[in-house]
Amino acid sequence: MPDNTAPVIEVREVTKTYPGPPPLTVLQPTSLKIMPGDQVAILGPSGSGKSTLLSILGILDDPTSGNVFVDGIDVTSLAEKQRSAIRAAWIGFVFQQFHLIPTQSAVQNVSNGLLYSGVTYRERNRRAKEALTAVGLGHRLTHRPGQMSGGEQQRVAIARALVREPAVLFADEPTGALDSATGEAIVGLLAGVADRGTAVVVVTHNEEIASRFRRIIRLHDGVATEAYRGTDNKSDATAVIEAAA
Amino acid sequence: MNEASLNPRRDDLLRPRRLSFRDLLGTAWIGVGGRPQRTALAALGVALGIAALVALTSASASSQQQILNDLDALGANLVIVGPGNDATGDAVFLPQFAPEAIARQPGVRSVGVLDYFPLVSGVYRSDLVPITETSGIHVTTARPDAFEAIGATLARGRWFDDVTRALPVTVLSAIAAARLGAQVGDNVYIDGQWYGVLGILSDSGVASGRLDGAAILGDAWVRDNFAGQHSGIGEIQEIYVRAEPGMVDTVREGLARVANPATPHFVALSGASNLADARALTDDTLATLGLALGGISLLVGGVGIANTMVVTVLERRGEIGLRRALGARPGQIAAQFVGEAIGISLIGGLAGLILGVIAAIVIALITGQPIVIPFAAIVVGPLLSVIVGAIAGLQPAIKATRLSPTTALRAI
Ligand SMILES: Nc1ncnc2c1ncn2[C@@H]1O[C@H](COP(=O)(O)OP(=O)(O)OP(=O)(O)O)[C@@H](O)[C@H]1O
Ligand SMILES: [Mg+2]
Repeated sequence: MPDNTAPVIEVREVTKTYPGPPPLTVLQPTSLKIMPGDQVAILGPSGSGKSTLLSILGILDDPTSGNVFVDGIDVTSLAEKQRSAIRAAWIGFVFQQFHLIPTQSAVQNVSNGLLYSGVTYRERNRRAKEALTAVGLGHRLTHRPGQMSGGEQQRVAIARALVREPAVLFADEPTGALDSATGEAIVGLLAGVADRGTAVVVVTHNEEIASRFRRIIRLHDGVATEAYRGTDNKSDATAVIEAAA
Repeated sequence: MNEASLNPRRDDLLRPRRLSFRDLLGTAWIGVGGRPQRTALAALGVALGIAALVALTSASASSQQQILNDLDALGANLVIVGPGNDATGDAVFLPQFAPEAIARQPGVRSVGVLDYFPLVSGVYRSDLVPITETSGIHVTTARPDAFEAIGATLARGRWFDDVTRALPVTVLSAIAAARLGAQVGDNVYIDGQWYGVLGILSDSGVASGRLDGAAILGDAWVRDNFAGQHSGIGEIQEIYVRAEPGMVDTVREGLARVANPATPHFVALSGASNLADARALTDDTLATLGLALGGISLLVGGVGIANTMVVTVLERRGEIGLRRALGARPGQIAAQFVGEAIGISLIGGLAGLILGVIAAIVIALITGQPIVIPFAAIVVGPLLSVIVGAIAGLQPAIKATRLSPTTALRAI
């Protein structure tokens, strides 16, 4: 890894308090670096603040305090227009509920991943077909979400996130709506993404799924701790977790 | 670690991307074409509004046209040009080129001429009636073009043409024919000359004052056979000028100068000006009525679309959150939903236009009025539906952009 590699995403001392009444602090001050090609699992029980942390990392939501850096740029003070541009160019999302558009075919859904990135229609279509083939759905191009199984739908959603070639892919409980065998295949697919240089951050409450990822960050009542895993030879790239009450 | 990364994508990272108009239409179409049944139901209100607008304005235009036709027949579009009098009271005759010059003016539909008539002792069925017994029938001189301009109709026979205008023939008004008991083909006796009856009028149009009770002689015959009887023989007595619909005022304006460029102030203009006023009045009231009724129906349609869009934005919060996560700016989300509302409304507008035109034709056929579909209604209908859609979609679209991406994504 070259020395000048900045974290794809870094948060410093971010907190989140939902305004009440009564105000609810769901994330204690947290600092975290996600490096290129990282494999990160965020593990914790329901309500521990996993989705909240993921939204802040993915600049979908603002932290109450602290700063978020994308490729070294402090985005906390940026205009919405520029934050949107960063989402379009840098970040991919996969959700538990797939969020596919029911009236569109698989190809159309995947090409939506490039819609706000300034890519032409033809190019979007071409790359969408490629991305679908890459997730093993080359034979389902014209199917609509309603004509596909849950696992297939989630693979369409993953193709939509990957077609952008994001620097980082966030997945919030991507297997939550799937049976365990199908979920297993999806997790394998996501873990493999990191091999192509895209950092992957997966939220789960399943220990077994988390164990497939190189880094595991545990959340409990808004406090994050990272279990250091000696097998990781990228130790210089791993995060410094500063969890304070 | 150096945080000022030299990652080549960095320059590009903050640059806002354009969403092409075509792609914007694509996002708007998802909601319009994706659920045809919902679109049809939501568009129904606007369709009925535009249909009402088109049908009502067309129907009122039809009945208006009917009234205008009737008014024009009465002379609302008529201007009569005649010689004026100079300071000594003598008639200043119009030049012979006047009718042709007037006919060339824009807005003039037809021009017809009556010439000064010769003085005769009487019109009789036989040469044996003593001239001291007057028949009560007078003589008038007309040119072939007068027939159309005055709006006369024939009961039998024919009117003058380029040949018969120079022959000893006469066209009798209905009254004259009845008094004389004459038929087409009979002869009548006027001042020592037999004239064949060429035709008999059933209606004298706007020249009833001159033609009723008259035996009409051709202008060329009068010029050739009564020359020198008095100074007016061969001169123009009246030019009947008919204007195109709505053009009568324009036509009237320049008429004196066109008719007699040398001495335009010695030209006498007359016409049924209060009929023309009535025409201008009906123009306004009927059109306003049509617009008002259509506007009300359209307002109801717009509220229907606004309603649908509010529900749509609620239903599709997940999609809105997803698009934000994909990098859509709030304005692009708003444009999508405004576009969708416009799309629904425009479909309604086009359907309404077709419906309205059909209704207008049916109404016109039933009432026996002329089919008139104002061009403005065809343009304004769809245009109005676009405006209605934009207004109806605006508030729900803004609401969609106010939604934070996380809140939107959570809503399932
Ligand atoms: N908009 C909000 N307003 C108030 N409280 C909120 C809001 N969003 C989340 N919370 C609260 O914050 C806490 C953390 O929520 P979060 O969704 O991050 O948990 P999670 O770890 O993802 O849970 P799960 O595994 O069930 O998805 C929860 O107690 C939740 O009720
Ligand atoms: Mg969650």
